[in-house]
Amino acid sequence: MADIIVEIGIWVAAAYTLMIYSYPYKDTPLFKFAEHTMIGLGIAITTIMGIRNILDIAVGSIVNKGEIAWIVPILLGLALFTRYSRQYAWLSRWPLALLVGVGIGVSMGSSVDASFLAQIRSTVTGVNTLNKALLGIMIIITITYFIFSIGKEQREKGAFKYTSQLGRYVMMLCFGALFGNTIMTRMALFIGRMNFLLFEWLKLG
Amino acid sequence: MSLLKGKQIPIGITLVVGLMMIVNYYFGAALPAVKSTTTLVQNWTVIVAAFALIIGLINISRIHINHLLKRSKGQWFFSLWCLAIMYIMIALGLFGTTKNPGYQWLYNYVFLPVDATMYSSLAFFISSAAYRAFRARNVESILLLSSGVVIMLMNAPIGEIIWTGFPVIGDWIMSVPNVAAQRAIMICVVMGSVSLGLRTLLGMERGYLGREE
Amino acid sequence: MASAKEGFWNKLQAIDQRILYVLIIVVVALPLLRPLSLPITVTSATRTAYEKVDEYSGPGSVVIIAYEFIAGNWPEMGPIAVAMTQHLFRKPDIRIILLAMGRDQGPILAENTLKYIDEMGKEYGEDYVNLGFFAGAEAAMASFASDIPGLVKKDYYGTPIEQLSVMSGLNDLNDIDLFLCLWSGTPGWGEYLRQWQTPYGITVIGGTLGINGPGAQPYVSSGQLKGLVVGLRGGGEYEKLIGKPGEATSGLDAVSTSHLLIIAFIVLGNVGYFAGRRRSGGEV
Repeated sequence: MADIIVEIGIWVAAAYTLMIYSYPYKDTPLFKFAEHTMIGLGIAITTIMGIRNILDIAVGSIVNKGEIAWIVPILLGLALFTRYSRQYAWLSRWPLALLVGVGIGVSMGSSVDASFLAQIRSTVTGVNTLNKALLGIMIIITITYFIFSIGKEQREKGAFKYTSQLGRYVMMLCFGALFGNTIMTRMALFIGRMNFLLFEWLKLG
Repeated sequence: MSLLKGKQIPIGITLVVGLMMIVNYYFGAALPAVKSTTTLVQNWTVIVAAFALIIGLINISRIHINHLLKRSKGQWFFSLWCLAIMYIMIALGLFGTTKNPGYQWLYNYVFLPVDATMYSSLAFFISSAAYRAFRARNVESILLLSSGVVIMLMNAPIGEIIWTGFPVIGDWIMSVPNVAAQRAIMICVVMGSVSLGLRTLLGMERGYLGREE
Repeated sequence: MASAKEGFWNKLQAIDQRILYVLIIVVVALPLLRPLSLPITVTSATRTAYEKVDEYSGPGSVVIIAYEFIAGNWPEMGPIAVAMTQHLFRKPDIRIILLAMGRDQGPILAENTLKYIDEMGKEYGEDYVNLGFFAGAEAAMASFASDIPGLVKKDYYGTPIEQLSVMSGLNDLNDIDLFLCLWSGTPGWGEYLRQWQTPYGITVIGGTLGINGPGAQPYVSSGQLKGLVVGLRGGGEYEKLIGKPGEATSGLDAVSTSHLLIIAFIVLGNVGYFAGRRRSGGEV
């Protein structure tokens, strides 16, 4: 019985795969059907995870451990739904403000350390190879490309003009690396689906 | 009452909570009261964010129920299907838990194939773009394409067979100009995001609070 | 004669894109059906990641694996996740915690990963646990890092944490020895960098999509990431290192042929474009 369910599953998966692949040929109702299936299931998974968090963490703590303070985030969370009421929509701003405040606060505090100071530190310390020296020079000339507060005259004349142009060239090498890796990712995802169609569905291997 | 309904209180919440997080990061070890309060607020945020995940369900339901009620031509059947599969999955996952065989089956044999195939179809479009759009018109595009080709041949095992230099040059591109540009962009982005963050905390950016009534 | 050649280049430029799609399908399918078995050389990047995992997962250590990707990325992230998870499960006397804080599909993809590995006799609840998903992304990461029991009440299956000996004695991130971050986008490594790596200095090894590889390189260069496995190529290399060839290994032949085809498209497209331009007197 289990084998039959798995086999049905494989055929259903193959059908959905081919429905999605019909799109590069033409936008068909089959693609739309598969698209709506994906939306429905995706939202369902997210909702389940959200509800499980609420029940396991907040409600569970209140019921099993008597930690009444968890009622505060439950009330704030419920206040989010007042956005659908014209009269009480203002209440939904409070939990939003909490989310935004915490989000900005936690990320701002450490982003200066993590993505700014640590990167600069790594650039200026241990410059004992040609590549490291070249790296430092390339970083500086690339940053000159992003200095927009300098007047138009200065940007178009003198050393600045050449450093920002060289900075563009450095960025093009970087974007080329990004492009090359993007090709690998896109092809890898396609290879995975071909693997499924050829070996799990058609059983050619 | 207008104070309650206005934006002053939410802006105040954002400022106080945001500052608390920043102070905790730098001085939390020396201020245990701040650290414990911050952890409490972060725990609360997890629950509020969990409620926010459910907003998606409500929005999608409203849109598709609207289509159903209006019997939108060429759409209502898909809306009905979307709602049906969504609520069936929720029922299976909540009342049967995520170990429920039905939930697992729908995820592994319907959602995963659809999602994976959706992303994989980009392979077709990128191949079409490679043929029609990637033109070496100037120095910059020549640099971009050359770098891209070298990286592609570094990633593909056949590249090393064609010429052993591809992995060497590719490695240099990844660790020198790529790191240089990424780091430069990162430094600029952090400066921008910190200034935007400060503006939001100080109430100068209020877009997240919605329109004035 | 000139107009015939002009016509040829223009026709080549205007080729039906479905022909290109068929070519892609053929060059991917053929090496899957008839493997070329091209040798896979392990690069220093993947070898470093492998060695660092070995170094920081000694007996008695506690390891967290975060599955921060979605079903859509499974073909590329799956092999990386399977290979790295298998590597850890082979280690004796370690505790492994599986979780997700950025991607709600993480827990079920962790389950899928476990289906492909040999658990080496490890017991659920004693040696490893799936804690599930925690909403809030960066806030959840910050909360978990500073007070694990304060946030974690039950595992993914609803079992109270007190009943799971694998979680005993874990109070905050200082009790964790190694963190494997398997991510495909945002929320992902950037958030863990800010909330876990920077404040607590935890050792992090990463595994990510090819498309994220270049963006993550500065963190490898600065030492914030001790190792990084990138894309299907990285997955194939890691499979070779653990001696368990899988989907990445079998897919790399198709990577070779498809990449050659894309390069051919770029070259042909440019040759046709410039030849067509020259024929028509340099006008675009």
